[in-house]
Amino acid sequence: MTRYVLKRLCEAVPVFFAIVTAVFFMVRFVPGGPFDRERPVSQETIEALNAYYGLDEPLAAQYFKFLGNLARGELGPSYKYEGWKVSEILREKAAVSLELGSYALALAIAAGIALGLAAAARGKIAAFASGAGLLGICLPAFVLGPLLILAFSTKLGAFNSMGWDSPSDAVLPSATLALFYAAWIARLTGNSVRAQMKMPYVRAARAKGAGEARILFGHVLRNAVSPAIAYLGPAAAGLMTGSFVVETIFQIPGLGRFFISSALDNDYTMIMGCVMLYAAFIIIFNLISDIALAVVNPRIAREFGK
Amino acid sequence: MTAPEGKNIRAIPPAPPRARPALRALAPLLDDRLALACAAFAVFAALACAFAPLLAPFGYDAQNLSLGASAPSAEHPFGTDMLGRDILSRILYGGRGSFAVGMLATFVAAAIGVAYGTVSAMCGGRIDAFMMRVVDIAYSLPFTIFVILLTVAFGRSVWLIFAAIGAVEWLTMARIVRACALDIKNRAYVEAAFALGEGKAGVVLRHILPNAAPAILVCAALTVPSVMLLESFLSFLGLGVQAPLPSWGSLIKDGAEYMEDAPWMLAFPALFFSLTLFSLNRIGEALSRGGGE
Amino acid sequence: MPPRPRHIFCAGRICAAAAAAIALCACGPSRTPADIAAEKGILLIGNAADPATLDPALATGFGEFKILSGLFEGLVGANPETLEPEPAAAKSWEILDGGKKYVFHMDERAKWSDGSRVEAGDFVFAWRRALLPQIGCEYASLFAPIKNAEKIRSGEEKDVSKLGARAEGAGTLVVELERPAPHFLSMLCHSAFFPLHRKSLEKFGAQSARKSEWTRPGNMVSNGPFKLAAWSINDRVSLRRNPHYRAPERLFLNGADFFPISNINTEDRAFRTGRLHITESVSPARIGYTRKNFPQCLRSHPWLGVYYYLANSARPPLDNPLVRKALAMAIDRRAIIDGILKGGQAPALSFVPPGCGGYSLPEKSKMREDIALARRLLAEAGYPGGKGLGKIPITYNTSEQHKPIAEAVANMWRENLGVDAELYNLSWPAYLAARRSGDFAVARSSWVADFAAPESFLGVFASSSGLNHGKFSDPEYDKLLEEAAETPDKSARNAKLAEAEARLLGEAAMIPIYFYSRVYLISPRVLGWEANALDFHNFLGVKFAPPEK
Repeated sequence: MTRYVLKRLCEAVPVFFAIVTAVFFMVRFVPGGPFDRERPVSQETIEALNAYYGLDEPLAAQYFKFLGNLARGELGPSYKYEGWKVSEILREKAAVSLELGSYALALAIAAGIALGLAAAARGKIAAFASGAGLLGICLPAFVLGPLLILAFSTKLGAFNSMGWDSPSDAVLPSATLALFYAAWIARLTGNSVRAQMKMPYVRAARAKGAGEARILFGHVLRNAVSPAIAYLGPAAAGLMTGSFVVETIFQIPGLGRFFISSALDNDYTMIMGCVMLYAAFIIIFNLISDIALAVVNPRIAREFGK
Repeated sequence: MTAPEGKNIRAIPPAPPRARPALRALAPLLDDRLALACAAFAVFAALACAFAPLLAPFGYDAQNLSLGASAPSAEHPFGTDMLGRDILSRILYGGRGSFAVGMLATFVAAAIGVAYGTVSAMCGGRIDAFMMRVVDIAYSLPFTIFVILLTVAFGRSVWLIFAAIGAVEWLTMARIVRACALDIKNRAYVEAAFALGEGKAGVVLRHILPNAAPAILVCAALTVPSVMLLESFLSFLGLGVQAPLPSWGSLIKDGAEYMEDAPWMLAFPALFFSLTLFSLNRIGEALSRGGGE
Repeated sequence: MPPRPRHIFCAGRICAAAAAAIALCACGPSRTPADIAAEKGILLIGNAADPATLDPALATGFGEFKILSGLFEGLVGANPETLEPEPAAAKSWEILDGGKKYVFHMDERAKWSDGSRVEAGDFVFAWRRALLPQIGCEYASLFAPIKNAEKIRSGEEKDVSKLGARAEGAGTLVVELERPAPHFLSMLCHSAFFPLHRKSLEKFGAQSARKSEWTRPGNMVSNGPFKLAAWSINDRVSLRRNPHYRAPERLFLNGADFFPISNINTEDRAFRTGRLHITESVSPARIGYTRKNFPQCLRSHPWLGVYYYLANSARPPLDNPLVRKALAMAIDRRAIIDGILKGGQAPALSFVPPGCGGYSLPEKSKMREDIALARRLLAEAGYPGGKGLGKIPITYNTSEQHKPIAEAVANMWRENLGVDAELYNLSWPAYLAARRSGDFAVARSSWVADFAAPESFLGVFASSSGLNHGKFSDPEYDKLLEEAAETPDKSARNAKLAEAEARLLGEAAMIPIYFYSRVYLISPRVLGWEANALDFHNFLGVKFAPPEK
């Protein structure tokens, strides 16, 4: 098991390296430099800034310097936020996004699996559940969020309309965030439960007189969650790195906004920070999801031994 | 597949579909009444949007500033927006944009994905392993940043942007096609074809592609709505289709701002958008269910 | 660290949230965060943009200026009601040599937030720093009236001590000017002229270090009514009372929190649910509703700024003044204001907003809206009915405010002139790059006064100005500006400037659209937040009315 984890992590190194390299060069070809301001800035200022960030060196030298810094865990100063390091900003914001992301993830799993099971049943419930599930894929978060605020905050006054201060501030944003993912989990679980229900072992269990509930929760669910678990790896990475829409609408100081604003502001170091953070999350959560797959499915577990 | 903010979602390893002629892939639709209704709606919506210039009562940019955002009336059945433009007409024209970007991106994704997937599968061995590694790498890129950099770089041509989005959306397609191709490649009749002296290209064209078609179709049916949703996200950022040309994403975004004061500006575009997305997803789901069994 | 409950990462939070929700529902309307903050004397302010820096020399945005005017205080302040200069760090001053020499006497009570005295040398230190090329202060051009400032800024003079500002002991600052500058005093409340606490700044880097941590909470020492208590990016900036502030009798607030709420609807909902006392703006979508239901909360007043379309005078077909004039004449500004902006803005037929330092432009010099004449001019330029003109791109930076205006203008040009306009929406850096390199035909622009005088506007179009991206060039115009600067008498000077502006408008170097208004929401409990044309607030005299029973 430990060997498997180590092997996977080693495999991740070149992936990480390739991503960092690709993005490093990509950002330099975008029009508009990081120091563009409305008012004219003297050539000497630009030169001083270029020297500060090492932009006066040839691209290859910049790249190797960047790698050197990276090896020491240093992401460099932000271009936009004067006097702030990218790593300190990301660290502070990651705490918020991780928290919100965990609530949303828990909510998405619970709601998704419940809806998925309901959709695999027969009759009206199934139709309703699959419809409700799909709705999540069809409604943009920037519509759902304001609607939730209008209903629960402006009208009912049950929650704050924005901010990240009191515990209840997590409720509406995590619901908004979770819906899309819940819908996917519901779809995957529903399809797979339906497929499992036609398997011979279910028929055998029925023949032995086992109740439907026992069959569903005792046998089928365990086998049917695999696709959802495979999906949850990248989904968790997506949730934990925040959402621009949800953070903008609910005014939450999370990571998601930097994924957009850094690219729009040409904040090179921040772009690199976001890219690396996301790649790291993807690698970690895919690993967790693969381990979880092995836990529910012993056949895969045997592969670990190899 | 991508999440609404363009973060990648890894493809679920698909069950290799049973080898069947491509046309019969559509058969599951006939058994599923809801899916059939959805297909009918999707076709209706696509046609209505395609013929927008004939059907729309007004131009998409015909303004009436003094009218402003007015509630639905006989003249404007869905009301008007803040510039006094007819919402119905803008929905029809906007659908063109949304469908067009969805299809264009999907087409590009399918073209790259099919080519990449088959090449990877047919070459096998180390090349295959390397090519799939590249796909893995691409999956761990935060797609959002990539798309924004592209929109900033190509800022002036929305078609280029969506071709570029297609060029990033191909990952799932490539995996699925490869899985199908690997499965079919090792079947007895394909081996027989090789033995009879048929070249690789011939095998791909005559056996692999027709058999992989259902899976490609399912994936494409699910890619179109996911690109449309992505377009709405870009519109939220103000990076979507260039104004005054509308898209459903930009209409919904504008509508969301006027949610409380002119609810019709949100309700009608959102209704069309959601119904279409629902339909496309439902069709894709029905097709995939047929494919899996 | 932010003075707010730190979140403890625990699974029980959802349960707590549910319980809180139920409790809230059960209690009915409770006290809002704004009520609680008001009791503590803390003002909650919506501040659209996240501040990128709190260094007065580097600040560029209004969001940053707003925070900085709570943190620092210049030699001379401005009365928030009248904008007249009033004593701040300097208790008095003398103007000598016919306006070429200023002697400021420092207020002994003026203290830094660490209790040390604000000395004349602190100003000299800050001003020299702002002029260093390594610092690259965007507003360094404001120093131009001071002796040798331009030379230092351009790098021609390497010795910063040659700057015409010197401290005579701790209590006296002598400033020598190149020539009399009638607006010098009012410029001094601009953040670029704020003093800096040398010791605390140098603890974190050299005078010439642009990126340093001296602006962080705990590190920063300031001399304004407040000191920096917390700064969390994308979250809030908290200011708290400076215990050593020189005029405690005028300071009633205990602090101010600034929230960088970028989404205008989020800000509106925040205000309505009692999370803010003052917003940055109101969405045009909400103005009608607010005016009807909460007229006491809506405030709108003129602001010294103009929204205009910059024409590229160096590139065909807009190098032809007739075409530019035709385009300017064919816009229905009233329709844009009433239909899109809705905030009581004034249509702009000139470049300098009305009420700018006693300046006024004769009616006959202003632009006109005249579609028939516009068509004739276009035909005269060789493009009858817009034929042969091709597509005219309108470049604008991505924003919900700019899009509908561009759409409306494009529509007006098409309907009134037969001119086909195309919209190009660019991200902010790409937009700036396009403007600077002259890669545009018409670019959405705006200009807001640095100080309340027409020069602040007209200087933009001087041939030598780095802001003149439309490459408008008229030697006569430059000469008039030059002459005005040499004219000490206010009315004679304004007459010269009016002559210059008439030339600018006659050539249609730009297409003015509207004069800004500040439109925002403010809680009726906030007293003393004056409406002034620069939207300048030093937080003095601001207080909360007792809650209504």
